[in-house]
Amino acid sequence: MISDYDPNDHHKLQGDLSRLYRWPKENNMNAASKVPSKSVWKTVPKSDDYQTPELSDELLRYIERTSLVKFSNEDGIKQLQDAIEFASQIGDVDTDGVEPLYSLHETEVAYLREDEVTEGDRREELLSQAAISVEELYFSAPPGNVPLDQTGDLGKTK
Amino acid sequence: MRQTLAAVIGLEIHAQINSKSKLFSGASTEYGSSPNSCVSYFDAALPGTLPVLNKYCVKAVVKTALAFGCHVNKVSTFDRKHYFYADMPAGYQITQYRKPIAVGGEIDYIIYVRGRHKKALFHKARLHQIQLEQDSGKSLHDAVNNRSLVDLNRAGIGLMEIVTKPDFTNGEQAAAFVREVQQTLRLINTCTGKMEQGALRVDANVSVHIPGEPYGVRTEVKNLNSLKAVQQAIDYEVERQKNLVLNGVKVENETMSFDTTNRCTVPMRDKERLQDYRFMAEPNLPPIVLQEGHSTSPHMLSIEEIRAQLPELRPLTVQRLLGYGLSAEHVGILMELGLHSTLIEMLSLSSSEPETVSKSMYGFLYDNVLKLAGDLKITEEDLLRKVLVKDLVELWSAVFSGQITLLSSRAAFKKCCKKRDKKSFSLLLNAVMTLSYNRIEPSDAIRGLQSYLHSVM
Repeated sequence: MISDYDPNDHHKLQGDLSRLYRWPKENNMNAASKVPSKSVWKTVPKSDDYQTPELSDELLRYIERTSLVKFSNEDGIKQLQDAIEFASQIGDVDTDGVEPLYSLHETEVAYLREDEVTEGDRREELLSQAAISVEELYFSAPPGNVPLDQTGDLGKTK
Repeated sequence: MRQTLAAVIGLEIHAQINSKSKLFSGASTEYGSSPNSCVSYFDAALPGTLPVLNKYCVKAVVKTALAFGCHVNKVSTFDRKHYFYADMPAGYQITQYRKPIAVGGEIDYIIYVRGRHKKALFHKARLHQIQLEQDSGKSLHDAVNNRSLVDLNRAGIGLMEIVTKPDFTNGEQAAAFVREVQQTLRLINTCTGKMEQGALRVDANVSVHIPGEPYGVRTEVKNLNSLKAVQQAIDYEVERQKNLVLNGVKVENETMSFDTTNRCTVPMRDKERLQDYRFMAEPNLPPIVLQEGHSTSPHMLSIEEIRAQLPELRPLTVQRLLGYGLSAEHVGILMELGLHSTLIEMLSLSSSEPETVSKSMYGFLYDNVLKLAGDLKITEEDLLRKVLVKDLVELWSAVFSGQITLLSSRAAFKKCCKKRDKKSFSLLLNAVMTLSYNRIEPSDAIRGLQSYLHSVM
């Protein structure tokens, strides 16, 4: 599909995007923005009571299964622990009396499009993106979920 | 001990919205299309695609919620429910979890099967909520080659998930309830209700306990796609759980499917422990916002304007029919078979008082329509679609006044129904009325009719 790229489509896509939301004026990215133009990095000191969490084999297997990422070697576990430590810093922020924000668009209104068939007859093109297809009609997938190896020696392989 | 155990059943009904295009994309929802021919880039979860909400689907779910007396939330939001399966290419389903579009509500339904019940029973079940969500694709399991064939035509069609409170105690109640939901969805025209096409699918949560004690561990019987399957699967599962409990075996929390051939429930192959769906707010969709009064934006629908479009709802029709002097059992049958609207139309066209002729019309409809539909192997509703109500009234009044017998009216009716279009029915009916002015044998009527046809055609 990359080969079909047409720079004019880019504008069309932007047009399509703007149909999605009714952007309020103050959100206009061209206006004086609160987003800094360069990345800003500040290290937060580790809080005194932070303890590196214990990650049991059972928990690791569980995270591997739900994330479908196999990472349980020494490096992988170290990375996960660092990530947990980094993320837990957010707990240090004082949020008393602040209403939770679920989504940046929660004060917007969903755009409603008319019920018309405008797309969809692209079987050949879509199946050409699939690793395996069957009879030029179907995508092919392994039967059911593929179970991860439940017996691997966690944390011992390099 | 067996008698003291009681079943507790709750239902999740998935109703496909009868929109032309999908919930978030412009791909067609046409049933029976060639595999993967109704799939947009978004439905195939190609990177960079975004959902655009279908107005019709929002309207349909609000209409449905109002018909079932739900509280409609003026602001509702979308969430992602994650699971990994080939027929859900994005790896998550967009649904409503934290704040669904409608909560509460209740549905009246009648349980009456002729021959099985002496009296019609009026029941009520409460709704927990109704949420708007995407349907998944379909997998065909190719056991020979050990693979799944995936068709994404269904992926992304708008679904209304109607979740009930655990208000049922057996399969019969649940099936009667689903039928009521199906008829209402057809009446308000938000779902075809065609269970054989998967447009209406039911999951049943079943547990048993001793009344007064906490609920037992429940199982979920998934994808019941006929009223018969709803009833049989639930009754089987209740008995299975009772037997386990009586033998001191714990009921396991698992997902079951119903084997329609052997009429039993079986655990599904990938038996999951408690699934972690990792719900999160859908970042690509702002909330659905509705307005109470007049709509001031095409993107904010008015609840009142949608309410004003609702036809007379079934509970009111039941009251009306009871008011015409029909028994609860007759009303139950009329509502179940969908004959009520024809009867009401007949009453409105007839010059007689409804109270004096309602029973006679009921008998006329029941005897003719039920029998003929059976003979012609079509549904009662389809049969009635073949005739004009004013012709029915004419035929009925000929019977009522004693001009022709019920039997010859049926013969005439039958002959006429084989003619497909409504115009020729009127023509034929006239012929019958002329020929069988006095009570004569139906065979004579038909013979007469045939010779008449020869002369006019």
